[in-house]
Amino acid sequence: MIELERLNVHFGPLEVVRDVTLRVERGRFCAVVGPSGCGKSTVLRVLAGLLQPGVARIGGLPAAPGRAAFMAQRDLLLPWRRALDNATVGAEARGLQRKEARARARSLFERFGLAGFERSWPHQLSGGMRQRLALLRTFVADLDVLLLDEPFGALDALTRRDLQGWLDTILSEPGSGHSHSHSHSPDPGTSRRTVVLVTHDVDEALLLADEVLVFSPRPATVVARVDSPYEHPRPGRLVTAGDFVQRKAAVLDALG
Amino acid sequence: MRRLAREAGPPALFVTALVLAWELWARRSQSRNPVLPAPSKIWRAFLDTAHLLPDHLAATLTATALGVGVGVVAGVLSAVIVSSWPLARRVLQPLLVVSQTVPVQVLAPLLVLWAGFGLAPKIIVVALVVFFPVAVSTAGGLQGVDPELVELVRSFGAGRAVLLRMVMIPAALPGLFSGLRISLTYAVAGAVIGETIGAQRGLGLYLSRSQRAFRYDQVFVGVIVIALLSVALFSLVSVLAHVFCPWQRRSDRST
Ligand SMILES: Nc1ncnc2c1ncn2[C@@H]1O[C@H](COP(=O)(O)OP(=O)(O)O)[C@@H](O)[C@H]1O
Ligand SMILES: [Mg+2]
Repeated sequence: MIELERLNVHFGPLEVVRDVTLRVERGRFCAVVGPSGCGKSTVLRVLAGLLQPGVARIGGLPAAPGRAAFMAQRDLLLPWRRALDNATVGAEARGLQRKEARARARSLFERFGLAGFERSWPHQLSGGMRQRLALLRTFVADLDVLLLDEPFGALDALTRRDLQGWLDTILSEPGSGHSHSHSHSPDPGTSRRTVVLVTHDVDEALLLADEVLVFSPRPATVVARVDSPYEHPRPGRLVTAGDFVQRKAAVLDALG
Repeated sequence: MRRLAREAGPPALFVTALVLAWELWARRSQSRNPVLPAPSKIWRAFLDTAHLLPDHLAATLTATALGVGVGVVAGVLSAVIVSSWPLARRVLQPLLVVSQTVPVQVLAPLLVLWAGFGLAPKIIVVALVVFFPVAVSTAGGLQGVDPELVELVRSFGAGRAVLLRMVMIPAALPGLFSGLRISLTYAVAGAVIGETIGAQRGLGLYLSRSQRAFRYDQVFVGVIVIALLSVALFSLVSVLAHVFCPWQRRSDRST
């Protein structure tokens, strides 16, 4: 579970976040949309424990590095590591066994559409593959909470649609590479991960998330909360369904 | 192998032609031009003094290797300091530049005066020559590290040691190697200059003795050995860079 109670962030004289409250139940998917520069990434960095550590709570504990798997808009792969070794960066940084992490990563390469590229260097991969590898890295880190900052923002529309559907599917799969070697899971293998996704794509938000928070322009405040109560995994053509379109209108109205 | 033949063939042919022309020309003007001995004469001088060369070569190599070692350690340390603290950068950066504006030829006699005729002044000269390029290009590598990359690795809970191993060291390596490559030929030259000023052994001593004895054939032998030494060290660094920075290999890029 993720809890954030009335967050305020200033950078010097610049007020960036005002009174943002956010609560995501275990296994739920929350999307945050808002105009660019409003403070979305800042909120995510607080959840990741990179900014104002301890202010948010992750699974009942104060947010700190190592509690949630974070993915930025850019893939941020290490150029000096081959694909397989990039996949284990998060796990290694957490102090998990490299050998175990490699085994888990290797078993996920196929599912992430990267089979056969284990030994490639990042610069040899396409944009979509690099993004999938960055996502794979967050999965291999084996944490219950995923924080995704515009993970598909840099991709072309077709690849983006593709990866959205694919992320929805992967999150809905029992286990989805989750080893739950760490005891805090009551039902190993069947629970969905808890996700916060930052995006500026309203379709993406409603298509993937259970709840969408709409932020105002800077300083960010929550101006609307829109439910997206559809069964996962969702078909791509859901975006054309009547009530989906209504929800989309509600989000767009809130965005102003 | 075919690539080697294609790349090395033309220059090899060119050099052979040059040597032949030189031989012919030197033979015709032999008496008038003692400063340009024929290649055959240089070869004979090489054979005559070959028994002396390993000792001199070893001395120069030792001074170079130790100096490079000291220079690299000092260069990397300053790079780390300069990249870690902005204040250190403002204080040290100008000093680094100034340290490079004093020519080795000026410095070497002073160092001999202070540190004697032993190995020490040569090591210092080489270290000074290596220090700057290594410090600058390593600092470049460290300061070029994407802060978002550091933040990402940190977000997973990485401490300083893990960050160093995963991010900082690999980021600094290519710069370190290119700094080394730039400075190596100067490093060998620095050791040799140190030795010409005062030494008991070394290729620089061999050079200055030959010069004083007007044995220009031997001077050429010395110069050629020094050039070969530089090339060998340069290749060694290239091999090391190839081994330690596999992501930078060009052949891998096309696969
Ligand atoms: N470390 C920082 N120091 C100063 N200003 C910052 C910093 N991080 C972000 N900002 C500013 O805060 C605002 C919100 O940034 P951000 O959270 O990245 O927006 P978003 O992700 O919604 O586009 C921007 O105006 C940005 O310039
Ligand atoms: Mg952002």
